[in-house]
Amino acid sequence: MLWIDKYKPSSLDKMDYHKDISANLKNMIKSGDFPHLLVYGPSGAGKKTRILAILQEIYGVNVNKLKIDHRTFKHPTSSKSIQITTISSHYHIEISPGEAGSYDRVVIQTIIKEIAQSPPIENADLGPFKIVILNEVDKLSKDAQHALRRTMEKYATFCRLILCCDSTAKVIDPIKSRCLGIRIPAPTNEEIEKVLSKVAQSEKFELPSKLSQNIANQCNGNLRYALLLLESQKAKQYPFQSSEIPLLDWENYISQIVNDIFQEQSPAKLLVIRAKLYELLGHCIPPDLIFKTICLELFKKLDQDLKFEAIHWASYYQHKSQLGSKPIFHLEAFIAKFMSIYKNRLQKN
Amino acid sequence: MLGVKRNLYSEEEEINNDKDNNNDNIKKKFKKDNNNNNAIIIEKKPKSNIKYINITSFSGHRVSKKLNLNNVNKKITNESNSGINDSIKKSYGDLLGKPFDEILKELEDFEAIKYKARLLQESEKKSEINNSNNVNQVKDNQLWVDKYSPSSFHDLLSDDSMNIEILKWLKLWDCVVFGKDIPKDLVMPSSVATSQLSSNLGISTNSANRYHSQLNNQLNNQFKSKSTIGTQSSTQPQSNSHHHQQYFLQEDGSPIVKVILLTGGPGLGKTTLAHVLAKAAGYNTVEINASEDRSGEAFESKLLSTIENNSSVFSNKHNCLIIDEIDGISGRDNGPIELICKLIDNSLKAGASKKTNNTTKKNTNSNNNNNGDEESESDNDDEDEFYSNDNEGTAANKKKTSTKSKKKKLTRLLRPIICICNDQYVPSLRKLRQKATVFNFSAPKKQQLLSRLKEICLHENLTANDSTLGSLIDMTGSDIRACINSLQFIKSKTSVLNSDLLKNKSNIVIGQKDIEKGLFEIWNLLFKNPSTNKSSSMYSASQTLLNNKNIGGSQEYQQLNLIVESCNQVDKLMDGVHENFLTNITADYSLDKTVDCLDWMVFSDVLQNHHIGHDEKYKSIVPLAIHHRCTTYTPKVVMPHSEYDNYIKKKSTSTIKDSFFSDAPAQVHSSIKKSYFTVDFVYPFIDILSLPIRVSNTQLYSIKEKNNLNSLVEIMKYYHITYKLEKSTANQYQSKDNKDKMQYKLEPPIDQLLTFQNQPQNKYDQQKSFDKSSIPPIRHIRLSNDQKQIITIALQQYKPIKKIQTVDTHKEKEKEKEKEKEKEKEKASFKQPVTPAKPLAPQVLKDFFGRVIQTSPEQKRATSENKGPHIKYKFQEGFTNAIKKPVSVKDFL
Repeated sequence: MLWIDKYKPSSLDKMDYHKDISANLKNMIKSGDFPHLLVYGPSGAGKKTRILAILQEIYGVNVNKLKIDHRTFKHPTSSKSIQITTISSHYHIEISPGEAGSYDRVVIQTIIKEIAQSPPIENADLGPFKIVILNEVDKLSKDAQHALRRTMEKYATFCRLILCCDSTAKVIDPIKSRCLGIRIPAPTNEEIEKVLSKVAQSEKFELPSKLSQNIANQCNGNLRYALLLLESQKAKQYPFQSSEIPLLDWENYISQIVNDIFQEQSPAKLLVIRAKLYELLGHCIPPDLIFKTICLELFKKLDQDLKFEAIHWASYYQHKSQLGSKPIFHLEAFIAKFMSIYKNRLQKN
Repeated sequence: MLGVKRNLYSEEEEINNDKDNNNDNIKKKFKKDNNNNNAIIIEKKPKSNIKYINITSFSGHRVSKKLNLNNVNKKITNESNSGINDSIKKSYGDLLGKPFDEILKELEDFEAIKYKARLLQESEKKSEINNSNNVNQVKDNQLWVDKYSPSSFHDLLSDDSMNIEILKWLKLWDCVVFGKDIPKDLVMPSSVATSQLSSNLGISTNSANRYHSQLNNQLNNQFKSKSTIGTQSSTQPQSNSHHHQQYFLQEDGSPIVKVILLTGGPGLGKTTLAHVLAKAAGYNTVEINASEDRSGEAFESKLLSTIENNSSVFSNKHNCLIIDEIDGISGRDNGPIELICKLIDNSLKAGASKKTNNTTKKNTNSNNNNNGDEESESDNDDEDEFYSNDNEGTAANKKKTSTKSKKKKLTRLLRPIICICNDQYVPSLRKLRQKATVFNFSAPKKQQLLSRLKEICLHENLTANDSTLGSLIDMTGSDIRACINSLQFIKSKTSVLNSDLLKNKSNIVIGQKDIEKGLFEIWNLLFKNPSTNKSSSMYSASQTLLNNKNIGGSQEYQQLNLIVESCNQVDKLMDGVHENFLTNITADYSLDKTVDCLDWMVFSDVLQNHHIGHDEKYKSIVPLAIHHRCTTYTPKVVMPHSEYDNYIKKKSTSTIKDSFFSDAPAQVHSSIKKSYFTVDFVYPFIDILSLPIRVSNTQLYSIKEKNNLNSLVEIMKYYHITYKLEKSTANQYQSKDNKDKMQYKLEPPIDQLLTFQNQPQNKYDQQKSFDKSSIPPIRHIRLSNDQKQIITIALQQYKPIKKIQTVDTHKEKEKEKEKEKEKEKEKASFKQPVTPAKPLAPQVLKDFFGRVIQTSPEQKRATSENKGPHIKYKFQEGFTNAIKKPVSVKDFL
């Protein structure tokens, strides 16, 4: 078992940080009923961990007996069949409607309705309602989100939805207003280091503080990544000889791209960069992340006013890419734009 | 033939009925002259491999002149002589036979005669028309396209050399169809040319057979030259006593190429060509086109009846099948095309296996009078069992053949088949394309088409100048049919065709071919720098300014606009533009153009996503905007593939991801989000898996090392990750050393997600030089094969222990069973069983050769030692549905 699984806190009490949130949640559960929840926060902050802890708080340890179902159901109008993976226990079911791609609306309309419609059998063990966890709500299409609106109200008596997403920016307002929003912020570096040292203690190895600092810096508040990094470092070189943390492969790749940008600003170079962008996209690196990383990499070599330009255009094209469907156009447009600005600046000086 | 209709109606009035009296005289005279002229100077029909020269007279007539006059002398003696003969004899030995100006003069003379004949013809026609007004009206209603369709070889506008090739091919069938030997060089004697001419003149053709027999007689004794016709050389050398070599015939005399395929855009004259040539070769044309039912059996019956029988009792011609629009042919399992292919195969086989019966042939040839159906068919009945039914009279011949081939169901192809299609790359034609010779039609030369249009205009009293007609040709994309149709349409409104008419599309809807251009063409046009002189041929500059006040401006621009609008694959179009624009952008030092182009593309993407992009109105905006910014004189356009490649790549990545998740336990599902899998999980995870292990016997491991190994194995178990033996794909550094070496690969292959192209760090080298001592500087360590081997063994050892520990849970058992099934599969696929004891043996041997490890044999021992008291025997596990249960040996004792 990886450490991320091994040292995952299973109850609200065992949470290492954000104690106040845990306390609030506990109070909420004690009251017996709670509204739909919308849990949001950056990746690796512990959203899912908290959700599962909530479940355990309500239903006891049996929630951890999970089973995977690959459900296939037919599209109501077309003959296409849609497959979706659900993870469920006796008490809850977890779905990522995003898996169905453009059919996410159908998933919402059929599966969730189906679960939500049937009232739970009168059983003290099962509790007053079922819980449906929806992952990546921000990736749902607008249609699906609208389909969700009504369902949330109509079946509120039997069913609680816990929505989970990175950012609420793409969640429509009606849904936000129907849910109790719970923000799980990323842990601070100190909190991460605390967790790391705790793990090191129970794994019985020495963790130099320099290394743990580096890991905390590297992971950007992503505790999952921090733990994975720690474990990989442990696997790679123990006792620790250097405290250097390598960049991820794709991060390296992006820094190459940025080097290319500074090296030469020409259509030919753009063509080279295009191939690299394609490679990144082919590795399922989200375009938004590529935008962000490129921009941050650019920052390292820019002076103040150019930084402003870079971030302006990055956000401009990132916004456009949200509206469109071909990220390569937008990424390339951003890079071309920056090249042009940079080149003009070079000529002026 | 246009010649007939090409006459000037303006002069018609002069020709009155009173001329009828002279008709006969003129006709006779003309005929005589014509004969002479043709025989001596003009090969009206360029034939065969003999070199010829094209001569174009001032009036635009084209004729071909033989360069080698070897035969002329002989022919001349055969023909009735005229005065010119002598001059030829004198100049015999020259390339042309006589000075060029003389030839030209003769040509002019010939034309003069021809013209007379035409006048005569016209007068005849006129009288006919006068006789019946009804007929006249009917004629007027006739489409010009039909009215002016070429009726003879030289009126064809398509490429001469191709026409000749096709005609040659048709001639190759003579042996089978008409039962004559084929002249080696396929020279057409003058007599045939005459006949062609006379047929042009409306004089009914004599039975084509006769000409062909004449042809043979005349030519049988002539040549030495090898035939070099066609594009293919025969596969079977002739072994029989044929008095000349034939490279394109099978042994039974039928051509090797059974079917030809004419391809090209609409309106280039494919169908016309097929009909004209088939007629010229003496066939009766039978056309199967899309207007008829031609699916499945309907097609089959029609096809078979056509190639088996003659058209009717009345005509003694043989059928030549023309399958038009074959690309649109439908049928279950591609039935019609399959049928044709099968026929071809059949006849190829049959043709090769049979030997020509020369004596029969000679006999029939000497008969030389195959006027009737039966006669001609008896000629080839030695090739065709099919016809033997009809031929009662030639029982002797029949006996010879009846011994052979009785069981065949399908007949052989004994009639030429010409297939016509617009797009030869239609999937359904793939098979046929390999078997048939493909002739690709290109647009006719503009000059030729122009002169033809002029003739028509003249004939129809439509005034038009060259430039207007030229622009009409441009607008239609050299589509002959569209041009003529447009002309007719214009004529119906006005008798003057000027540029205003063409331009003003609101006034008259003509030209502007609305066919969809190929994407490639569009891209080429988009990136092509519009040449300025082209537009000036259309309008003067001032007109351009006046007429196009809206966007862009020039005529090209509008045409491009239309072309882009007609394209209905907007996505693909944009992909292509995106893929190619960077290579075609020029002089963009400040990158402004690039930025602009990309901004437009971003815009189009946003439009697309809102489903506005498919709207007709907006479709062309973005491509044209890009056209505005980047054009070159020589655009380089490639098919866009990176978008698709990327799609494939993405798909394979997510497949790997999915396979990882499908194996992983439920807890993993809830802790790792799929979308972040490649971002922050795999990379450290692989590092964790790449725990450096000492390459040595596991028994010699320290406790710490053992613990490490154990924890690693536990992780792998938990995530259901295994190493799989695979033949190394002979890549990179390993290829030289030992190609057959087995490689351990991660299963599911999540490590593939780490490899980026053009990565500067070459991990393979690192892997190669991987040594226990050189670990620290390496960033991402990938395990060597030997280490993987150890892990695999550890995994396998680990399993039994785990089994005992968790043997009670039903779930676990099921999982184990699944694994065993998987193993079975692996066994089957790699023929290299992965089960513990056996599979290691070959592996060990190979390692022994390749690397330094001698540990493997020990390991094998260690494997058994390690298990200590638990000695397990696994019987050869075949697949069984029975419940498997581990049983200790002691239970049996």
